[in-house]
Amino acid sequence: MTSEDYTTVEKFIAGELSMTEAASFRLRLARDRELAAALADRRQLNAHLRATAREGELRETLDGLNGSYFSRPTSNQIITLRSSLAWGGLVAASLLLFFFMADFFAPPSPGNVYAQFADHPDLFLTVRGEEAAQPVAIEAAYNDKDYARAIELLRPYIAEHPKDDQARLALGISLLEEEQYAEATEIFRNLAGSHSSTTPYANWYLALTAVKQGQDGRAVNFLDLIPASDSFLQVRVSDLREKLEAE
Amino acid sequence: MAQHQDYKYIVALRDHDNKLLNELYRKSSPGILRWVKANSGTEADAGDLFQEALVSLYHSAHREDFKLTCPIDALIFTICRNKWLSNLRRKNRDEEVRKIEQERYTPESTVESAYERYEQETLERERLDRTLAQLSEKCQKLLRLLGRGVSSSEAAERLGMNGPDTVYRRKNACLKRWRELLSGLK
Repeated sequence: MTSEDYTTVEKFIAGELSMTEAASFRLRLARDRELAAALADRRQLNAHLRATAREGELRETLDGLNGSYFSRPTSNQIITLRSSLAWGGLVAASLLLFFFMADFFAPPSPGNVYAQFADHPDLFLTVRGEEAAQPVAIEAAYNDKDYARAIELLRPYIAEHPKDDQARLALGISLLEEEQYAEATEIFRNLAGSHSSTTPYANWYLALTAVKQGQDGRAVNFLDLIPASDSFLQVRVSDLREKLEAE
Repeated sequence: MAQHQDYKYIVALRDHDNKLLNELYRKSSPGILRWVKANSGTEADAGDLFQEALVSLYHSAHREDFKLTCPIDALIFTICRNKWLSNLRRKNRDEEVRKIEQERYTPESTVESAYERYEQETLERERLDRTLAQLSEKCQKLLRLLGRGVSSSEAAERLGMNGPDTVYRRKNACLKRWRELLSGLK
């Protein structure tokens, strides 16, 4: 395969070949396996990029339907960030969501760009009225911004509750605050790759991790991954984007 | 082989058709819910499994060569069942795994082959994600923008490039690198 062949593949996909060129390309495809494989790979990439671009919107639709067909924990159970976000419309979770969002979207304070956007959500591992010792201690440490202590408490908690996305996100944020970037990034990446309702928040924190390390270009890449349909985050995304562009 | 009549739900996933998706939930979710709850899962687990199965099928729906050759609820059930088994294995819940494996579950051959294709597509998607993640930040950003349907002129403006020609050249360079990475994985 030459670079001209690849250019022809691109033009074929884009519909930029003349009818005669396209017919001759099709004839060649029938006998050239390498060319056919290159076209198949390229089409697959296109399909993947198209699907990924709109996955956030689909998840939003499915979150609503899941709320109608599967009930979520409402009492005596730990509520995770995932449920709070995905099931925000449920009465049981709405109070928690209110507290979460109210803090998260408070106006940023002046200072460097990271500090302006590092108003992390409070952590609510327990349902009000329930006083399980371990989650209460974690909430206290994390919400008091004692991140070193929060890390210490969150590690064993997550070992016991590996699917608790809220706790995992909180651990990532604590590590970010303690400048343990590699581990924080790994946690955010795993959450971002989970294709769940936490994904946009993980990408938001990947962007903040990049900002804190002065990698503004990298931050913008992560902002691009946050779906426009996520109206909660988009307010922050556009504010941060403006700040980064102004720098 | 022709598309199964349930292919309309695949199109609904691709097009975010709320009405048909609601119909799909009504038709397919009760079976998943019953099965997951009978096998040590919660209603929330069932909801997560069901949603993730639909998101995976949504990705498959974007492939030009995607064919649905069996009833969609049978395919969704097989996906959820295998995913739940793998979750239980990861948590070393061996007894529950044994219980499920003892069930007499033999999907019809059309479902089995549809599931095999689904697994293959999932692997291919992971391969694409891995190769995309290894590209430079600028390349990833450019390809994602173009994938979203952003025009070359707009992409040029958003990425601070001189114009559509630069976008075209840059895209080709990115794709060249992507092909190298891809062939490294084959």
